[in-house]
Amino acid sequence: MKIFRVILIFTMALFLAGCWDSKEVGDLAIVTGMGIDAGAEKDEIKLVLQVGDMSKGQKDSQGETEPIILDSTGVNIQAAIESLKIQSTRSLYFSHNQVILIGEEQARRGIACFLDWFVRNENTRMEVPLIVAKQDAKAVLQTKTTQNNISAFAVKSMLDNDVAPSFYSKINLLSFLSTHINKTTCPIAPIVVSKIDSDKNTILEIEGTAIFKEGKMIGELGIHQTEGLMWILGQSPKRNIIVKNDDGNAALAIVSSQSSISSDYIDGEFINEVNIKATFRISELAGFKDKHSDNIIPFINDLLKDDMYTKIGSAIQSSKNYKSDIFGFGSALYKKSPEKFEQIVENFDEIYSKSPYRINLEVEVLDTGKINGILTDHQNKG
Amino acid sequence: MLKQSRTISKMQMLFSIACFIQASMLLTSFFTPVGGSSSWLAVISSYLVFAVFTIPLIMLIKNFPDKNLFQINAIVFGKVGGKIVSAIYLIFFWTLSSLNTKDIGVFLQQTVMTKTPTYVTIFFLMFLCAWATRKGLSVVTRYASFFFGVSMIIMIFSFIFSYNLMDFSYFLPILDIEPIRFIQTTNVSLNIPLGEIIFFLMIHPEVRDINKNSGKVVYIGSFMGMLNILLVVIHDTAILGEAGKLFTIPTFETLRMISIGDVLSRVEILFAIMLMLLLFFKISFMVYVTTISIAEILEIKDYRRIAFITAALVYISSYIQFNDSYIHAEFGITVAPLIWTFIEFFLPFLTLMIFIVKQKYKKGSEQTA
Amino acid sequence: MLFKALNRHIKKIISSKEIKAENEWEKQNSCPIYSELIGVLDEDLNKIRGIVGTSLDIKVTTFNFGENSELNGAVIFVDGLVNQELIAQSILQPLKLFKGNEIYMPSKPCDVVEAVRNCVICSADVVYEESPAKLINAFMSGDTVFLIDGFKRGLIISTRGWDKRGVTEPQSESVIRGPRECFTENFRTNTALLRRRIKSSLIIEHMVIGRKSQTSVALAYVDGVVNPEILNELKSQLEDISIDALIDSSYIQSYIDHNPFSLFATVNYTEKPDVASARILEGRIAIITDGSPFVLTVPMLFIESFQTAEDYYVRPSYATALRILRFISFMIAIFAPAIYISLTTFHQELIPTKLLFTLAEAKEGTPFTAFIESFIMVFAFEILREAGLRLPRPVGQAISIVGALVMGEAAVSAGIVGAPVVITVAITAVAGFVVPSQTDVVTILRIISMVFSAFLGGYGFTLVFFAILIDLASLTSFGVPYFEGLIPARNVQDSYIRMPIWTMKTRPKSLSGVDDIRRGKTKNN
Repeated sequence: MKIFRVILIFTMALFLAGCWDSKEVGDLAIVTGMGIDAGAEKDEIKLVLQVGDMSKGQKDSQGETEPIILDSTGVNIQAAIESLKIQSTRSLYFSHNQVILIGEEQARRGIACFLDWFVRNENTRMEVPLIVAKQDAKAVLQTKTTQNNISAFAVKSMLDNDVAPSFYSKINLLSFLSTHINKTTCPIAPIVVSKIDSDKNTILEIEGTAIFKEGKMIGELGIHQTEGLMWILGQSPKRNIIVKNDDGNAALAIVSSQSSISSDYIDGEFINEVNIKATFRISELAGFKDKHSDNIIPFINDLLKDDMYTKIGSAIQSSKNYKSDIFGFGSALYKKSPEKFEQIVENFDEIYSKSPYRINLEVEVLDTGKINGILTDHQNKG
Repeated sequence: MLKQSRTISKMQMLFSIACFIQASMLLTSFFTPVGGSSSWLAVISSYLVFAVFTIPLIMLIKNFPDKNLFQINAIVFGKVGGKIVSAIYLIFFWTLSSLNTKDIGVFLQQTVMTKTPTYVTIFFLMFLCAWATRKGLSVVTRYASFFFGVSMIIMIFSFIFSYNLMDFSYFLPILDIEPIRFIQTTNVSLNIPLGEIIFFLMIHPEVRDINKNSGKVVYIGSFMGMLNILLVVIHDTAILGEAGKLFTIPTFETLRMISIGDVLSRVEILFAIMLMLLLFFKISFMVYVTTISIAEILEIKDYRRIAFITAALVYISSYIQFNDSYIHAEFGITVAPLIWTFIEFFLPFLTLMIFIVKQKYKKGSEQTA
Repeated sequence: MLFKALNRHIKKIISSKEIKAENEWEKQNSCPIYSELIGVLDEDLNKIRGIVGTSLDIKVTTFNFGENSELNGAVIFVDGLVNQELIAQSILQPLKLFKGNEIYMPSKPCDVVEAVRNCVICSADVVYEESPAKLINAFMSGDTVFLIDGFKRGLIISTRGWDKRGVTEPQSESVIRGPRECFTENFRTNTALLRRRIKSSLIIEHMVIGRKSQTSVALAYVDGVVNPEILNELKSQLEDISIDALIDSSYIQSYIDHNPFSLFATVNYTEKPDVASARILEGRIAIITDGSPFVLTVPMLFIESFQTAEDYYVRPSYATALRILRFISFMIAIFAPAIYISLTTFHQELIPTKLLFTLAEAKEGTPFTAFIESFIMVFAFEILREAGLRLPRPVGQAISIVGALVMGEAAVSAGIVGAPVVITVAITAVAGFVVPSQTDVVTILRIISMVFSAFLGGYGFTLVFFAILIDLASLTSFGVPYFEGLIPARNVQDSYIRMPIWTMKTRPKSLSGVDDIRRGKTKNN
């Protein structure tokens, strides 16, 4: 009968499909963090994988899973994975990878050749952040903070939340790749370090930003310069800015900020310009005894401007010292007029390191919040 | 000769055209490497060129409202000449069907199921297409409006949710490429998505009232389809910028990066669903057209008997097509635009010219006689 | 060559055997050689007794009546089917009091039967009948047959009265707001329930189907609204039915269903007269069967399974929400286990990471794959459901507790299945009951989609979805397309959403023939 034949054909075809792609959840080793460290040989790397352990009974007191750290060496990433496969009883599953950590030594040796694996593999995603680890990736991956057993999650949430400069959520593999293949721009990556704080707890901290050029790490920016970098790249930090004076200090919450960069090449001069517009609100005031409600705002305004000028200026100066355009001034010129760009592209590094820059700030402190003016002001009246 | 009754409405044909063109959004990787950041302009200009080049097709539809393409060829070129020209069209339809089948096989293999051999996955697809073909054109095109609506919604949805990832400065500088490259991109965009309208010349006898407003149906349908492709191109260029040239399926990569809140973060499945729906539709339509074409040429009265055989032929021939997507892309950029232009636009134009000349000649000889 | 000839020969033998069997059956079931009444009462009664047998409940009473008791008459009825009081009052009493000489003279021969019918018998429904077959049919259906010696015509007097179930609340289609009457097994009651709702232009055509059961079947439709082609097609199909006994309306359903092997039914049924009359007024035809409280309506559209009676009695916004909920439940009922299987087996990247960890832990101790687990649970659920249907009521509670606890709780604790599977299958099972008329479809499609998902993952799931779409698109019910596509081009007011009644101005075009407008303009719109 016809239907019988059809069913038979379908059954045979279904069995031919063979479930080759089916992976049982229980057979997966879910990789949550990947790290690349420098191997013993010059051309070898050490691959470190942080894998969530699914077997029952391995949970700690809080009910969170304990991670397992696997590592192996190889000449490239796939070679290292192959040797790992022999060790691991479950199949490695990379789709849930949260972070890519690169040890500082390996970063200085060069990572451009390893980017290929991350981009080509079907399972890895482009939104994963690429981070440089201060000591080596294995140390960071082995860290167990008090809140998070699996450090990959901790790092990822640190980058996404208010705990640290949060603009890092936009620094991911895709942006690294885009800037890497760009002719003039240099990629950046956050630096994370694992420390022991005063209470003998291990914590993870973001220590600054690493600058790459041609795939190798050539320098780093400290925390203050990183803040300036944040302002320029337009990814406003969601936290408060602290300004200090001899008289007192204040904390200002950022309401909104916009920034743009532009460059021009006039009369042989490559000019870089940064325009920033930001509005703030006062979230804490302490001190400033001799100020009153009517003149506190302009005063804070000036303080803010000075603070921002210093930070932004130092960020730009650092990048010029390193001869690497991390802000995208070159591309800005290219987008404006490709002909002018052609004139400077050969000697771009030299020209960039010597070119002047201008910072245009428009800062506004909107209001003082719940309290009218300063607390001390009201104190004086009976 | 096939007897084709009026089974589908003009709205169905309109949405079918839109879905057909939309299904080529996988193939934007053919012209975006060449066009770079100006690809979106190339898409718009290709639509304008298409608007002009389709006039012969619409004239043919208007002049022969109840004869399909092969029957028109028989009338215009004579019996033998008609069969030769129809054979060219048949080979074109067949090749395109197998190329598209190969596309969906490659897509599945690269993104979803990397180890299962394609001949198994495509087998089921071909079976479904053949089955749908047997049920008739009305079944094949029944869901056109639904698929179009779904894919449009998904595309707009992904556009909105990836807005924070977009950097519109990637579009500057505008028109940074050489004119010849721009023309090349326009040519590719014209031939590969838009030129496949020629398929609809085989089914227009089955559309009710096709002689009225047939131009509107074609133009509006292709506009809607092209709109989606434009959205895709803009979306990809804005998010990936320079890096877009690297990927074989750029849209997939961009959709992977969207995350809505913390929970909904793997939205590329929507793209996969949308693409599979559209490609199902397109391939079953193409198999249908190929089946009727074979039935016309070989003068088989009931095309349903050869539905499964045609699907099997398409399936097998898809297996021997390009194995390397890089070479496929090369073909799509360099060779295909020239051959396809000849078949999709020049041949109908020639047919129309000969028809007009013949009419004039007949009138002239009638007057003198 | 040889095989072909052999094949042909074999086919001929088989077909000739079939023809012979049919002829035998025809012979058995047609009436023996007794095509008209003899005229002599005793002989007629003997012949009739010979045909119907000597059951004790078939009563034959002979008596004399007339002025000088010179007329011989016989009353034949079946005890239990008649209202004996009616017989006494309307037939026997007037006959016994009948004097006669006003109507006829013993010396003048005239048609006593006519005289008795016109002047004596006190019943409004008296019919002449000459054919013995019809007379037998009449008294077997509950009428009384009156024969007079010497005449070749008999009288059929309507005296039906038997124990029947009253008009109660429906078991399967309950509503909170709206009429709660339901059809019964009694033919006349059903036709009366319809008549009460459509008082003008309702036409009820009668036919008798079933050789041994002689079941009455009626076609009800509104003249001018129904499509005459569909009506004629249906009538010819019903006349072609050659069957021994028609027990339930579903027998008719199998005969008129053009797509017997399709999963989806193309003939709808209902238990409520308000639903049936609404459907008739849209251009459909209702088929009422004696002995079945389910009335069939033809042609059927797919969307009808999602429309309940209550939708039209509650407010539009709530009705729309309920409709959408039903569609979503239908989808969940079919696809939820398949989605679970494909996500956890093929596409783990789509699951959020934390959830994936939880699932992985839940799967730690279980031995089976996701597909086998789901299949076990679905199968167990089907067993539970079927057992619950067949159980006598007192035992029902115990079994449901056993089922829930054992199959849910204990299976998870023992590590046979994982908790996520149980949750998925539970949701699936409950969602399956939201659209009760499609539970048969849902059960089968669920298994098919599970199988394809287990082998091919998300792609297999898409394949099944597409296959269902194609199958739906190609179904027609009596020439009317079954499924208009996922975006209905016409009649959108009554599909996934339910707009107010006054927006549904025209009847569905595909169903009706002629009379399009059913609601005119009101003052406000």
